[in-house]
Amino acid sequence: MKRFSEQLKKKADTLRLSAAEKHDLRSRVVSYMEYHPLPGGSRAIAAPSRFAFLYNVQLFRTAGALAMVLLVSVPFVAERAVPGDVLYPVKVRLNEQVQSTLVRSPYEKVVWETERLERRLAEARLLASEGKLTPEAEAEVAEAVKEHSEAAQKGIASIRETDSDEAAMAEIALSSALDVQSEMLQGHSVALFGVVDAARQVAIASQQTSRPSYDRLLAGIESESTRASELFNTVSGEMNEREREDIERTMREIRRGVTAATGGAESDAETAVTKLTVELKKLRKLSSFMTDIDVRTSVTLAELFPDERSDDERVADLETLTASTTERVEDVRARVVYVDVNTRTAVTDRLAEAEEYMSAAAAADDITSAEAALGAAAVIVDELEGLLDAYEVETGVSTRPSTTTPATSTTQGE
Amino acid sequence: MKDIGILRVSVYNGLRMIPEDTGNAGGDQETRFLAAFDEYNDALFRHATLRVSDRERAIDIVHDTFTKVWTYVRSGHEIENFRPFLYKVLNNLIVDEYRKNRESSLDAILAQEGVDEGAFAELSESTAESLAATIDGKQAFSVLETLPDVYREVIVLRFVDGLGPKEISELVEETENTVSVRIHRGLKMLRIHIEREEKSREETRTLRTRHTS
Repeated sequence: MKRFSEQLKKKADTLRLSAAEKHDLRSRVVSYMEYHPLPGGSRAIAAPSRFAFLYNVQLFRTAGALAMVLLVSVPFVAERAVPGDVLYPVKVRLNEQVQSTLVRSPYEKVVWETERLERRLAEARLLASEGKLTPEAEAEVAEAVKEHSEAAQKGIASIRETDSDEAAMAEIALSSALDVQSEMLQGHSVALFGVVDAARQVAIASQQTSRPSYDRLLAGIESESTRASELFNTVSGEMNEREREDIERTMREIRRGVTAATGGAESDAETAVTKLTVELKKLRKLSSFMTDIDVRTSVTLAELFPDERSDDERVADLETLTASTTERVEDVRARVVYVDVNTRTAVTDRLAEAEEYMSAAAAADDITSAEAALGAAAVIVDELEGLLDAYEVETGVSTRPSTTTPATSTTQGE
Repeated sequence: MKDIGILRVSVYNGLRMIPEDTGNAGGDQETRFLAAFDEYNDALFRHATLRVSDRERAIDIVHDTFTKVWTYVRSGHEIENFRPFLYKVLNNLIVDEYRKNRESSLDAILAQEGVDEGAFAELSESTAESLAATIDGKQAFSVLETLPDVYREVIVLRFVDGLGPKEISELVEETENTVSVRIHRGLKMLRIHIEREEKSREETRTLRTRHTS
């Protein structure tokens, strides 16, 4: 019988519902169940268990995809978190720690710790602007700032063991960043300013003991000024006229400072290094002013670059500037002869204005107001030169016929 | 035979393993019902197909079986073991199907059965076994359709669905004796059919040989 039963069953087993039939049948039964639910509650029908493995694969896929999305997007979103946000720990403990492990060279480490310090302060500013900077949050930020500046100092110390030049350069980077930050915090948060200023004092103190070599400094200035002018080209579009002029002026001043320092390098290398260090720090500050809109909105360039010249130096600079501006005014006056009447009238009017400023500068009692008046005159002359250049391009008429080439061309670049 | 208690079956509902219990929650009832569907739909379909010899009709009967059982669950009854219950409902539906179509023949068969019922030799399991041993299962399958349904019913239940005589007797609402007799007769009929087929095949063969020679 066993044999018979087995044979019969084997044959009978070929009678099966096809997958489609089965699915169809199940749907019919399930929909019957849905239309005739159990009394006392409308419940969703459980997922079909016959095809559970299929759904399950889907589930795993979905879960996997979701996990991927989360893995990728959470850290990304977290980047914008501020203290108190749910994702803030992700930003600080995950994103930044991961980034820390990616940093290889000690110099990069110092740069990264500096950036983390800046990020903490930026978060604090953001909170403050929303009125959410509680004393607790402030204390937390202060603690983090201290931590990062110490980590940066430690990094510098470890660089110093192998390369004192590099260490000194890192020190300059750190201290100029701290300069910017402390300038931004001044008058806003006493606690944070205290912490940043303390870190800055440490940086200044250690800068006294280690100085970079002259060559190294010059190379640093070279790359930093290249970076600054590139930055300026990129961001000048989103700046107003005033900011643009300020930055251009600052860059000119730095260039002048560098030229002066290199000029005296042969006779006095020590002083040259000191001067160049100052200029490099200025360049770095200028870069962060241009890159960080946060910086731009909190401080002005004048605040960032306090005048460190002595009165005598300022008077000397003032005289140089007066001389060059006078020459340029004469040049414009010579060129205006060649343009059409309308343009000539406009230029002459503005020229008179510039001359008024110049005489105001000459008559001024104090250096600051003389500088301001002279600066205004220089701005007008800049504008008029641009106007005449544009006229030449538009009309094809030269305002500098060879016979009357002014002898002032050397000062055009100023 | 191995009894697969539904209570010990874990239902994989696509999300996690839920150990079945006898809880009365609605979701639980639904889950258990669907688990029973998934477990038995093939067997019920097979049984129905062998009985009604019509694939589409068999599917409909299986569908009706489940909706009927669901209605029973809805009315507040708790089914502890789905298998006999499903078979019972399925069998009733198939019998209804026969009553609708072939009422006369069924009556005739039952009348014939009454006469012979109680034949001693046919009541023993062992004689059924020895009889079955003489039949080729594969051939039996092909001639199963020719059997009247009362015999087909018990043969399928016994040898395809693997139910014991006691279960079958409960299912078809006959005594165990009657079930045994029907199984015995069914097997005999199968053997006769097979033999008859073989004979006719042999005849055609000899006819053909004669023609060719």
